[in-house]
Amino acid sequence: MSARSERNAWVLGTTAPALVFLAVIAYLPIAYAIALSFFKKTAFNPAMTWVGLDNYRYILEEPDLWRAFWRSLVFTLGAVGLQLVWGLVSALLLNRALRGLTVVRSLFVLPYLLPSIVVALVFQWLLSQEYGVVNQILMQTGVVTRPINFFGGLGTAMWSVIGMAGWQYGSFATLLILARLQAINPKLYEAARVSGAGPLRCFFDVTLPNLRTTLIVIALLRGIWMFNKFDSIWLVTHGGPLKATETLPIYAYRLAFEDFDFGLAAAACTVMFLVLLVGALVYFKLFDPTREIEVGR
Amino acid sequence: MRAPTASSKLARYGPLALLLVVLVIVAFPFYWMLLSSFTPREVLFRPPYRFFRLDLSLGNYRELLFATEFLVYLRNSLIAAAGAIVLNVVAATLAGYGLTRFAFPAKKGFAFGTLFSYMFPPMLMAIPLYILFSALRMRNTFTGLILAHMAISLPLNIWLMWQYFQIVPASLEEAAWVSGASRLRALRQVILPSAKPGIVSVAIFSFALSWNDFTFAFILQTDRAMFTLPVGLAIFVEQTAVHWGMVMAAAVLVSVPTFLLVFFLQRYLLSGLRVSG
Amino acid sequence: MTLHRRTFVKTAALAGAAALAPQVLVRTARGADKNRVVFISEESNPKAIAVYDKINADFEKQTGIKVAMEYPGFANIAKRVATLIAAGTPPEIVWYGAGQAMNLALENQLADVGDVLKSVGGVADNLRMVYKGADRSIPTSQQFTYGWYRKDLLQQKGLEPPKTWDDYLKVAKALSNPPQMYGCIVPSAETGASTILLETMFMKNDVHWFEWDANKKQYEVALDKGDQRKRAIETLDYLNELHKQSPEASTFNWAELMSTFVSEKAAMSYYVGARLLEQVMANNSRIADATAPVELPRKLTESYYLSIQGFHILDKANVEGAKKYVTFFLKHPDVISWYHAVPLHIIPASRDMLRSAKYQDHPVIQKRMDVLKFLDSVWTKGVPLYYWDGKELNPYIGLFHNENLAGWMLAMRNIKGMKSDAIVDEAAGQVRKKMRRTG
Repeated sequence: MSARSERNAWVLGTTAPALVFLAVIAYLPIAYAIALSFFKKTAFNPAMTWVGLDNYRYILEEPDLWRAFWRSLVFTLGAVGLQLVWGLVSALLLNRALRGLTVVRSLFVLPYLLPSIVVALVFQWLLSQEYGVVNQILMQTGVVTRPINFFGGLGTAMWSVIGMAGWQYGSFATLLILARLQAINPKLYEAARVSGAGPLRCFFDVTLPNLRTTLIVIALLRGIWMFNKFDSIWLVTHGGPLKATETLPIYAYRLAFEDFDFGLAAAACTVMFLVLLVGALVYFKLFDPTREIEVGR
Repeated sequence: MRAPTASSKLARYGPLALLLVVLVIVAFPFYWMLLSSFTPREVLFRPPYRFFRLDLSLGNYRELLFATEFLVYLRNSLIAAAGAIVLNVVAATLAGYGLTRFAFPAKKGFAFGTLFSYMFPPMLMAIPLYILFSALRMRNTFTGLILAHMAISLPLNIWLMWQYFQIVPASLEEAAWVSGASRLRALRQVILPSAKPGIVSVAIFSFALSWNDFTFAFILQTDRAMFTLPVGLAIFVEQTAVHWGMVMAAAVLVSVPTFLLVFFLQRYLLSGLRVSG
Repeated sequence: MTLHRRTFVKTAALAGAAALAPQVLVRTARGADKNRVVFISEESNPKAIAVYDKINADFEKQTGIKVAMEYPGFANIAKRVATLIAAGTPPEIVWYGAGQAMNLALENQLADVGDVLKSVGGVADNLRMVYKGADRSIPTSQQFTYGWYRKDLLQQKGLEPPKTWDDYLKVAKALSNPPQMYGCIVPSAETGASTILLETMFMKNDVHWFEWDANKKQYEVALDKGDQRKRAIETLDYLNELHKQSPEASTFNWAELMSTFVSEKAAMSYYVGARLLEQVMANNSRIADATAPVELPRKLTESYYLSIQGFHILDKANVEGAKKYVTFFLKHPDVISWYHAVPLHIIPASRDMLRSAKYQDHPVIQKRMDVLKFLDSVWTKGVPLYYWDGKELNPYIGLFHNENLAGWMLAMRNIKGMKSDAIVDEAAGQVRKKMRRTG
């Protein structure tokens, strides 16, 4: 076998499995779902009728869609921001202080590995207005005089949901950042210290640049995931109170399974998808995560 | 020796105090979940609660394990997760290797393409998948569920392995080639071990996404005997006036396998890369 | 290198299996399968399941038809049915609320079941669901929305169980002592519990969302017209007064409605049936004896929101097999055990059965005969929502009921503080807009 064809075989062999899986399991259904958005289809009838752009025209005029879009932005930016800060702080602390304590590190990663429903139930239990221990603590220490309706209050619901998402997914960031931190060549720090840099300088000159790609990738992946997040929010508030936490995925869900209009829901999902596509393109242009990183120079 | 100044005290104890706060925030929900799961039902209906209690009871667990189908759901979740891990590791590792070691024209397109599928809301992918699997007679099977879980985890994992393979320098492989090994052999014996932390990360994320999934499991598994934990939990919670003790017991049991998994894989996950010649 | 070798072997096996796709479950093509019936049930109580298993086994023995059960849970059953229909594999039978089944009827998905009804001796008129001239539902049970209250707490203050709106408010005020105790519970959220409360109170105040236009021979929105509008506003304002004696309940659905009462935080509550009592007996037995049923207070009428459940057969599935099964089920001696699975909550559709010794022969029912007597006393006052506005089936109730529009109205009034007249007008407008879209 010639070197060239051997090389081609390698390329094919390594990338084919992933491609095949994705084609069948992901691309095909996505194509079908996008196609669905051009039809009128209700839930209880297998028949579909072509309506062209009607579905899009209808939802783009719906104020509920735009409100949901705004809420999605708030939730995504809030949750991702919280996760990045949390991930960075906790990774730095863990890296320094507790090299040996595996138990603690395992604990940090645990929230991410729990099913959303478990997190939802635990937080409902913790933050409940009547039974919640958090309210109990707040009242016993005198911070508040009446229990806070975390998930049910018009002003507090969105923040509570962001906080919960931050707690649950922050450890994803911790994991990645910590792993990357430990891969940084200690000689780089030595070199910096030798040239007189204090801890803050070390952080900005050595740590942060090496973390750059990691942080960018985390922000991108978490951003997409949070934008599309459905189950966490729905399980604690069902989009309430009074739609205060109704983000785009929940709005689409409502269209599909409360209004029973699959065509509209497909259009809403496609809109979400296009938003993310544009966002990702912009992101790529700005930050270029595909750029190969230099392993310490 | 200089007397410790306020700022140097802060520098010394600050991070520790901060770490403590962080630890409490992460750990308290688990502590409370654990404590509540061992608290008798009647006590839970009457707040305020004490933070420590000695009168613990196993009643909630007994009810959960024997009066509900929790064990069946647990088994199903474990099988689905195991399958997802295996397939993800193989496909993502190969793809990650291919992407970093070879320059081929469609590379950027491939990278973007995998991200592309990650961006689509899983909820609306579930229905077409349902139709596809119905046609292939794959509803209510583990294979079907595992493949569906791959749809959401594979893109992420390809990215991860791509990143990790970038850190493994080409010089390692080249050294192996120079000493006469074939590319395949070099891959197996040199590259893969160095990428272990990456592979373990992939395993953990695949596990998380599979274990966590509600949408696909609900839409694809219609037989009660095939429900996974999230689906089963959601359904039995709504049938009762939220029996918090039992719900917390279920939460604890669901956390235990994941805790053990992470505990034992820590080593691989966070061991530094030794870039030796 | 044990890690990757094991991985490769496992993967090869799995990949091979997936590629060759031999499946463990072999199914013949769905539509042509006369020997199979898929039955989706809303009730998944373990005792009910045991009864299904037994009856299904007997049915298979007698006819050779296999029955496959599915229990998606009551929050998800409509979704499950929708997904199955969308995929071209409709189930044969769905047992759930007739109101929900109406969505299927409107899309011409339900079979004519008049013959089955006749063979089991017919059914009361207010339990039927007739669409395009044919019966589409075989009712087995019903639930009313009625109140539950703490006898002991009322007696302590020398109060009688309230009968009118004014009484109810008085009692609620007298028993309220927030935050330890609330007089009543008024869920104010876009949830089922909140929606059904407002819709029941609308019925008590003779408020109609629609009225029948005899000229156009169809229903028109009437909520924001004349007297209807006045009474609707009055109802919202009344519930706002009541809400002051209730927890904020801005996220409350059925579970919270029950648990607040069970944990002795409310003197009065309500439920669609007796599951609340069952939960009290299971979780806080010391107040079980003091928990008693009462009608929700009346204003202009004593009508209440009637929830009917029954078998619904889908037209494009194995109709013959399904009809055989339903008839077999209803005539099977163990059907009483099915009613006994959640005693007092699943009320028989037939008054005769309610009064029969066989049905009453159950320890829980015997213990709480007061509940049975109460149910008997209000027997004919229930009206399903789709017949509330007229003799013809109202196909539009889904437009306000499915999205919990009534719950939205309560939430806007009690949580957001919007004025009642604006709420009523906005709600009516939304329904009209949706009517235009569905055409």
